Amino acid sequence: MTSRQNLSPAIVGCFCVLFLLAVLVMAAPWLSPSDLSEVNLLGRFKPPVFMGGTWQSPLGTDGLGRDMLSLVLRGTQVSMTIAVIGTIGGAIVGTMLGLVAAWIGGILDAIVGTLVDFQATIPTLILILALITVLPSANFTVFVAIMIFHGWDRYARLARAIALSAKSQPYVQAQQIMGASTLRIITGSVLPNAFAVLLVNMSINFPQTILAETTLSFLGVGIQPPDVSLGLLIGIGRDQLFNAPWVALMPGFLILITTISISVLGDWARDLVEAD
Amino acid sequence: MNWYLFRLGRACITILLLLTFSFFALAASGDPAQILLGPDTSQAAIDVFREKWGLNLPLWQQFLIYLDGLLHMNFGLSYRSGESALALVLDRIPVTLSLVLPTILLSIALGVPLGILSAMHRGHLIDRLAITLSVVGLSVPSFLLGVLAMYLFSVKLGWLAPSGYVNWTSYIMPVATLSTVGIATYARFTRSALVEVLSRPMIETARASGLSEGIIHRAHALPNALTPLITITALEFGHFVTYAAVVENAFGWQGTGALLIESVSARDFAVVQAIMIITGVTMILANLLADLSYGFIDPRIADLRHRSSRRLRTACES
Amino acid sequence: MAFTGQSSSALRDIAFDLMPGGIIGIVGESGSGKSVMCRAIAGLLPPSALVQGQMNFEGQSYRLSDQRALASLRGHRIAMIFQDPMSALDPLMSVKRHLALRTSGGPGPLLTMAGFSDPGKVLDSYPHQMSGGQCQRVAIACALAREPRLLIADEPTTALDVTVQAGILKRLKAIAAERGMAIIFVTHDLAVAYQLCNQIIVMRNGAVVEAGSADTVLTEPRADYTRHLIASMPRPRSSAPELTQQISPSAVLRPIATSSAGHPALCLDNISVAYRTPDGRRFDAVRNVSVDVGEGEIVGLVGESGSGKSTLAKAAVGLVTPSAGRISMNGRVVDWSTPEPSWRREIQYIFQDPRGALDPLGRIVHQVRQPLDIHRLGDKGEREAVARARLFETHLDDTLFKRKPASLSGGQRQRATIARALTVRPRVLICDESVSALDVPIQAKILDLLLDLRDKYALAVLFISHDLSVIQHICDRVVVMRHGTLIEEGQTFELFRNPTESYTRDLIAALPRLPDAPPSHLPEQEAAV
Repeated sequence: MTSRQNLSPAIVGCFCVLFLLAVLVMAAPWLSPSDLSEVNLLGRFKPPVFMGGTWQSPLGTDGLGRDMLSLVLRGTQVSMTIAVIGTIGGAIVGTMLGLVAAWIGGILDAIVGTLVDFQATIPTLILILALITVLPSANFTVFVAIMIFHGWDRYARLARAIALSAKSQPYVQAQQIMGASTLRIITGSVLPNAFAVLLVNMSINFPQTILAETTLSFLGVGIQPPDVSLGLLIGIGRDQLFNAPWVALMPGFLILITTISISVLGDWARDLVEAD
Repeated sequence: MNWYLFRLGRACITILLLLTFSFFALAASGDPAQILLGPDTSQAAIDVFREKWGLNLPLWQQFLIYLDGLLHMNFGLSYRSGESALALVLDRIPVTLSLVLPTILLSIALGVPLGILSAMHRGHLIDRLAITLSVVGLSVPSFLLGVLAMYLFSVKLGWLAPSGYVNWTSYIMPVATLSTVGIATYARFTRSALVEVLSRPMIETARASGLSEGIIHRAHALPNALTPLITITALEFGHFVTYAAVVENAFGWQGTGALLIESVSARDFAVVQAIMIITGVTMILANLLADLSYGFIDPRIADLRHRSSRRLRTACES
Repeated sequence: MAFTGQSSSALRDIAFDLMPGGIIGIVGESGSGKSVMCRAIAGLLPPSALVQGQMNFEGQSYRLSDQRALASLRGHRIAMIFQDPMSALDPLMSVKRHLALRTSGGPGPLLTMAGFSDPGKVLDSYPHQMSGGQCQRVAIACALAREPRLLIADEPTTALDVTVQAGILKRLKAIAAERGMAIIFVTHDLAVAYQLCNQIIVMRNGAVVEAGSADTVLTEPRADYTRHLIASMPRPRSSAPELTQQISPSAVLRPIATSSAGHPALCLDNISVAYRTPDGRRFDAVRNVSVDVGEGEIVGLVGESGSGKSTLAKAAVGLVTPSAGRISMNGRVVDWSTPEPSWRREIQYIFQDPRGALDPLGRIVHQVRQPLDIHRLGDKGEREAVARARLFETHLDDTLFKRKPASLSGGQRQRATIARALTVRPRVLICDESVSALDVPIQAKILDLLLDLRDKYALAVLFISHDLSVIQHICDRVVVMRHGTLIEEGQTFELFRNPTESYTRDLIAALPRLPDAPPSHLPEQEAAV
């Protein structure tokens, strides 16, 4: 690893944001002022504190009188969870397929390659939309499983390239000459050296997954009520933009800082890795 | 010549795969009769329906009928309206195109020069500005940008109508939203491609034999950076289509994208499938064009293709 | 032109004078600062470099920190060429276009001057269609297009075959004489400098250690470092096989040629290797080559690039599959497609690139222990002990045992690889260009190490190199390969004194010679290959 230079304030800021986010996600149930199933039609569209509201609902309320802070926290929790599972799941599936296909070669490589090519032909979102259409009910688990589709092909391609280049590296060849088994070579040498690159890819994939999920929820085909997602909130809030803009803007702000922070960190991580 | 045939063949196989996937997804989505006629219909009525539409035939026969239908431009009927799915889609395409085409032009016209300037003046103000814009443009979801724009220009400033098509001013927000992503993408990729080319030894050699910076950029750097840019354009095509769908929905435009979302919500698979196939075929063609163009730009690739035999390469060749 | 005084973190107080038509050689190891200095003269250092000093060029004085002034000199006054010819040219442009960018005159004369016998043939070629030597000649033509008065050449022939190098050196000397152009020639090879240059400067750690005419520096060096460099250069060991003294006392104990049972330790019998290129053609890398290596013998496999020597070596350990022929070790036939674990212990391989041969993430001692781990020999403690013992044998400092490869130098890494290979007590060792990436003094030490280990363990060594002087120094027998076939073989001393094949003669003649070596005729043709 290259010596660490002073981290710029922007990078530090992004780390802080993400740390706070992680805390929020995990502590959401305890931080929420109220239960989400409480519907209070008398308290609809109350503005947030800084726009003339009260501290009872610091971020205002939505069209059903539900507290915005609770909604946003829960929405963050849902969106982040889906993104994490989707990213890690996609990484595991994609990496395994890519490594094995490249190492063994032959027909397996051809099959995986065709699948990867196919995924590249249709825009992923449209593919996901098609899948959602045919599945009987877009419940939570099904939806999460679908999110794995988003980006597995990138990992597969990357893992394949890494495996192929590793095969021609002298230290891998040296181990083959020494008689090491394929499993030992892959787990002992190839994977650890590939880790950095895969991690960087994850940092690119993660915001993309968030984007995909929030977009789908916004469009109304992702997370369905009574579940909550940041995208869903914005979708509902869009219609109230004139009289209650905070319903859309609060979740919007959260998405904004999350994705920007992760993108910035991802770029920074990539610069670090490539500099080595 | 052999390589071109091979490549064309590969494109056809991919299209076939697309159609197969589409068909089997449709078949897996459950009984269309049930879906269309509703849960309360009698079994008898369902049976009549299935008979009428050939749903009792074995799957492979249905597949062939399906392919045959596609060849005749028959994409099936919309479950919702009963009209031809294809007709519905084609009806909406002009609206989408009127959004997407200006966006692509704007993205290239603004994004590429920005990327070039960025690469040439690395580290200076314009570079840092461009990078920041790129990061923001690429990490913010397009629907969020749209909603924010709506908030700013319609609610707060009251300059523009928030949704629907009123007059030419209605174009501004949707195109601007879409273009932000496009400009960010092109700027970023142009910059990284150019930076990579400029770091190659050949550039230092050119400098060392006395060529001016201007000639180096024009004659050496830009042509070598062209290949990755073409790859990006072909790739981004699909993204543009997706974002267009989102933006249409956000701004209430009655384009293909909006149709897609409505159909997904209503489980109207025929229409979804039609859009998917049309998009897919367009992307396959775009990729084919891109691949072909590499042979014209890079003599190494042209040589390789000329001399290649009929030996099949694996599908992972890129 | 006079060039004085410099200080950046890499260089200290350099000064020299150069007359028009004169050729000055800058010799030093990697890290000596020779490349940095050349770039400073040409104004090609990155803006962050701090350069102080000045240059008197053609009567005018220039500050070396003034990049703009230096840039205005480039092309028509000063030009520079670099080490790697393949990446020096634009892959998208033909030769014609490369030259058209620099001069409006005809490209033909320039190409002829660079050594092309038929310029018309290469005008429409692209870099990937040409050989390394041809690319470098095109680079030279480009550099000379505007008729500069000074050419700076940074190791331009290091990456080229020795016969091609000889041709280019001869051309450069002719151009300098014809045009009265001065050349600054950077190299790590003293012999090359002696052949080409009339003045030599020796650099070390950023400072000038010795300067003078080529003859003086090489025959009467004043600095210790120069003497050390000259002594490290590989030379033929003792004149005839009978006089095997001087190297090490244990040379007396060295068994000669074949092993006790009469079987050679490694026998490659009629090996052919063919493979398919990406565009589907069949390429014969090795054709019917047979090589034997006896116990305690060092056999050299020498050839230029594309000769198939590396491919043959890789076939011997199973990295490539031969399409024909048999491999046997100690009389037993070995088929690498179904390997026995014990075979893997008998033969080991040392790669050229010490950086690539070690896993960047593992500690040295663990990696040296790895063959024992794989074959499950002994328990953990014993394996650690053996690994450490082998490392000590290779004279690697024990403070480095726990480090990772990145903190070791090239020579230290190569020692670690050798130690790793010896942990399982192999009978055969294959060294594939194992010293080619090392500086000359380090190279000398590794060669001595190999000789010691051969004596100690009675190893059979197959030593592959393109460097004839190294081969001459270390090998008992030599096999010459070209384009996949065996050209000639014989005892080192005999081969070098009386080569029978003309190709071998050309190879030997193209070797740049040191002053004390016997002269031989130069190759007849030096046209571009």
